[in-house]
Amino acid sequence: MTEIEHKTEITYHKLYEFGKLFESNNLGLDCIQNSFCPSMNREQVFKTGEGSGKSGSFFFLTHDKRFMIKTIKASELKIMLEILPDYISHLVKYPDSLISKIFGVFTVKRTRMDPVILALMENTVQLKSPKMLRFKFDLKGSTHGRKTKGIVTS
Amino acid sequence: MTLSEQRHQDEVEDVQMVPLNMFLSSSLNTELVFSILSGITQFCLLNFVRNELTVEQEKQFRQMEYRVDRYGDTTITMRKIKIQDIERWDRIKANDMVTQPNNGVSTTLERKTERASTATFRRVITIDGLNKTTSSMTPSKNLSEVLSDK
Repeated sequence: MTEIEHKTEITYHKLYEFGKLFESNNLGLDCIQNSFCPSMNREQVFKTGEGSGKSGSFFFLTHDKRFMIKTIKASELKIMLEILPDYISHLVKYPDSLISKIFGVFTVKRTRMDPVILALMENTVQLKSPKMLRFKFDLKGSTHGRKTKGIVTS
Repeated sequence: MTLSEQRHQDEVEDVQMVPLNMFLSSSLNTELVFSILSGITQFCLLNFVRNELTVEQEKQFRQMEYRVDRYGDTTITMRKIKIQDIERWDRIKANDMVTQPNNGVSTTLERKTERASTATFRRVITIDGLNKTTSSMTPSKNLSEVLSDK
């Protein structure tokens, strides 16, 4: 066992509010510990960033592909905290909602490093077999190439 | 705030996050990712403390250093992390991934570092006046490493 001394502070914003989501989704301690156990995620650590898209943002998928962790912006954190009470009450009321489930937002602070804001999300694509996935759509908010020159008359 | 101001602010935030994301995504800082994973499991101990804990979990809980502020934000402080079989987490492992024969196909790490460095340059070129912001962040050390490799 090797010990590395380096002070790290991790703030879980509104932990007890998010705790309601864990309860409503029947996520127990053993389940979480199994998904996030560092030793079981060693291979995943070397795969961080795969599929993170154009932005190159940090993107971590747990070994059981159940959860993912991604970096978010400070403005996104602010919005998340603003909508949190409504967001949680909706998901608790409708546990089968198709809205992406965010189980937590964190700020990680280390010495000599800027704070990192992360979101812990449920992986929406959880299939028993990869063969079940037939189509994959990536919805974009871009307006690029979506404008017409005007009304076309014949 | 107008839409254009919002867009500008988003772009600024994007630029500021590039070195940090690159640092995290490049797998060069396994120690930080290890800390994040350990931290999440520790938070769950706090969240599920009312439930029955095993002896090992209770031991972990008692060793935790945490505080809850008036906004309901919970902060844990980790002063050291314990890693079993540290050689398995060594950076050499990541280097192995680069040096493996790959028959002309880019390895994972090569692709990631290449993409991250490209992203950085694209941002710096397109948005003026932000070089200072990006270069002031600690993870830029890894960018220079990537550049020297190239």
